[in-house]
Amino acid sequence: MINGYGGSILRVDLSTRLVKREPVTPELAHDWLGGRAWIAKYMYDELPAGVDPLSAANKVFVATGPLSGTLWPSSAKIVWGTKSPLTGGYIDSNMGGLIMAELKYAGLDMIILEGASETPVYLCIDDEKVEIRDASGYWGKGSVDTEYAMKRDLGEDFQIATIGPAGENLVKFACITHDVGRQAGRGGTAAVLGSKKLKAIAVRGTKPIPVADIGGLQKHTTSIIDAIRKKAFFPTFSKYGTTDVTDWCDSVGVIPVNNFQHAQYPKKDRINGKYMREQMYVRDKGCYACPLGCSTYTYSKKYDVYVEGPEYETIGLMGSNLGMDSIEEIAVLNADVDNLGMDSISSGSAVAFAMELYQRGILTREDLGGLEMTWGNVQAARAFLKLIAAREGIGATFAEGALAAARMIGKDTEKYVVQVKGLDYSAYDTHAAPAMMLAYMTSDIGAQHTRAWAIVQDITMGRSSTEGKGQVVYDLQHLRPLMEVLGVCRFPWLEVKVDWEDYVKALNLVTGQHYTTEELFAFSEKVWNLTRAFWTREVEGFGRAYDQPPAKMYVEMPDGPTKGAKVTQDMVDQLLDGYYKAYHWDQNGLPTAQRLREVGLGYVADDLIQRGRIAD
Amino acid sequence: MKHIDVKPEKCTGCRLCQLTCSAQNFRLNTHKSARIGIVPRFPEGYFEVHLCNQCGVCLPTCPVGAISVDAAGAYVIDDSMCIDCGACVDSCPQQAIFRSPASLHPYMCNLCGACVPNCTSQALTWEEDQ
Repeated sequence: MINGYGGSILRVDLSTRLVKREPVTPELAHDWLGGRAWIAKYMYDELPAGVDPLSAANKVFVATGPLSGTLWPSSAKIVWGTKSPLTGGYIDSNMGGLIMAELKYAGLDMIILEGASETPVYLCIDDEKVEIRDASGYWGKGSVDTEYAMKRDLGEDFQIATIGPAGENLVKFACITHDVGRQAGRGGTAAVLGSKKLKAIAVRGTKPIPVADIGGLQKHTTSIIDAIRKKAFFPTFSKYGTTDVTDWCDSVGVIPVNNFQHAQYPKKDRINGKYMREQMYVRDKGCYACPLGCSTYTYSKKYDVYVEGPEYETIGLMGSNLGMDSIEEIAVLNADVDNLGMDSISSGSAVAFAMELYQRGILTREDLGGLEMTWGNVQAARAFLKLIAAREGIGATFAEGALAAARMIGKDTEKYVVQVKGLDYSAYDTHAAPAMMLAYMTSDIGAQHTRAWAIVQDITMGRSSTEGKGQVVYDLQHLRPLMEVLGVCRFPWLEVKVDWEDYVKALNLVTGQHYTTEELFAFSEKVWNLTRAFWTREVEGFGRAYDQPPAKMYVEMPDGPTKGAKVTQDMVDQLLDGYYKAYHWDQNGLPTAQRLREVGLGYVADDLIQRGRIAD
Repeated sequence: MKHIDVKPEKCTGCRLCQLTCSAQNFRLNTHKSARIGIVPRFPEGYFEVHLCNQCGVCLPTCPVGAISVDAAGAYVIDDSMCIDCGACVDSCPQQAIFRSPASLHPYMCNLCGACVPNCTSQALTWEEDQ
């Protein structure tokens, strides 16, 4: 028994249908903790170099952390990782809900999915009993519909993660869904599950998680929850969740509008959290052990549809970025992509890209399957999303992701895709936010905000200034991803300012270890070097050229609060120089052998040298 | 005396009450040993909260008289007398008498109140008896 852990890793070979449990060793627990750190390690160590993401040789790693499923507030994270079919590099994406706890109650900390089945299957874990079962009855069903159906068939006490038709059809931004509206959204992990013909994972467990000092943990938790209740932002954030940021993003000119052509939205009062609550509120919903309950479950009368959310990123990417009229249009698009099983960010980006090509006359109505892809046309957007999920007609092109679609379409259209490393921007424009842009440029999965979110620093340090921003992003990248190592949500820290040291205390109460912040930040540095090394190994010519912002950022913002703003190559170079320096990487952004050895990754240094990726 | 008032419309389904209850009463990290039940109802979107409201229906159903009321007003099953017949579990209109591997016998809310401060949505609050 290791405190904080279920105790085992489940290795599932879908080709041979062999299942085995491997023990979590004290060394693995202590030296690599869990969550995304385990994923980074196993991905580097076990995936054959250059593996095709949609081949049977790719693997999907599903990892909890030592705090996942514990009493500690918001211990609700489970991380899904693989070699991304969308970007060709490292991806991990996490979800909340309840399944992380259930997995640990079944004695499991991680699942490794290998090989590929020839027929649709699902993995059923009922404590010690693990079966690979026929899923032909669920294949073709929507993600959320499948969850409801499986709960009816197996029992309400099973926790279930599913893929939808998009994952089955290998759409490269297909996502995994759980607990109605919790998604591991980014990078197409569900397409890899689709390639393995794995429709779902169902799990039920009965064994409590061993905790070193449960009395101490309860006391610590109750005291932190008492503090949370008194935090200034608690009432607002627990009520509006991420939607609260909509107005602010509009006011400071970072909300994406019409595929990032503008950064202020005239209809923002019809898409914000306040309007959403007035129009559609059903219930506040919380993930496991979460005192914030930031999610809002809603019902759109106009479209007769339930959805969890929309969250801000969806409001941005599927709302203002598509020129939608109101939150109800966003809700129905959100419900569509949830059930099709597609990332609402990349889905929004794909539709926005198509709409801009239509606006510019590059693609015609005929090219677009007869759809009039004008801004705000919700019916056309819905139909287009269905074409993508089914890979029908033009949908097959966009199912590859917006960047790949641009390369197929040609006609110099790549400049209209807002992405880094093939992963579409989430909902923050960076014409006048250099630190945020650097966060997108250097996130280890592509343009995602969760590794570092630095707009506040851009505002306080200067919106055209690059000075000190490399260090800002470096520092954020050390703290935030640790949450996904420990298996907790970042919001109590980010939104209501729970002190980081209280997380460390909780980790020690759960594990009985004596971790320090200094050790954990050094650990973060190791993980960050490892994911960078994975990209270096997998992508020929990887380096500075892959850390570039989208072409749109060089185009002057025509109006709004950031009118006239644009990025220059000098700014980009300064940002990257400062950033690489902070990491002790070379001028091309590659980890040096010396640095890899210093952070405890000597074997990775040797491997990259042997492959000719870095110099000795 | 006071009791714990339940407002299910405020419940977010986070299980912090159950986790706290299991920690307080059984020293276990799980929501599955709790003396309170949460049942999600979706797609309609609400959570049923099952908690003893001290109605007393269970008391006369016990064939061996193992159920009594303590000084705080909580209903208590005497483990030394309980024959584990399940009559109380079946009788409870709140579906708030539970079984789990944490105990050999059924149990219900003991009014320890550990859950109340951890329920930030205030679905659970202390109220004075009328």
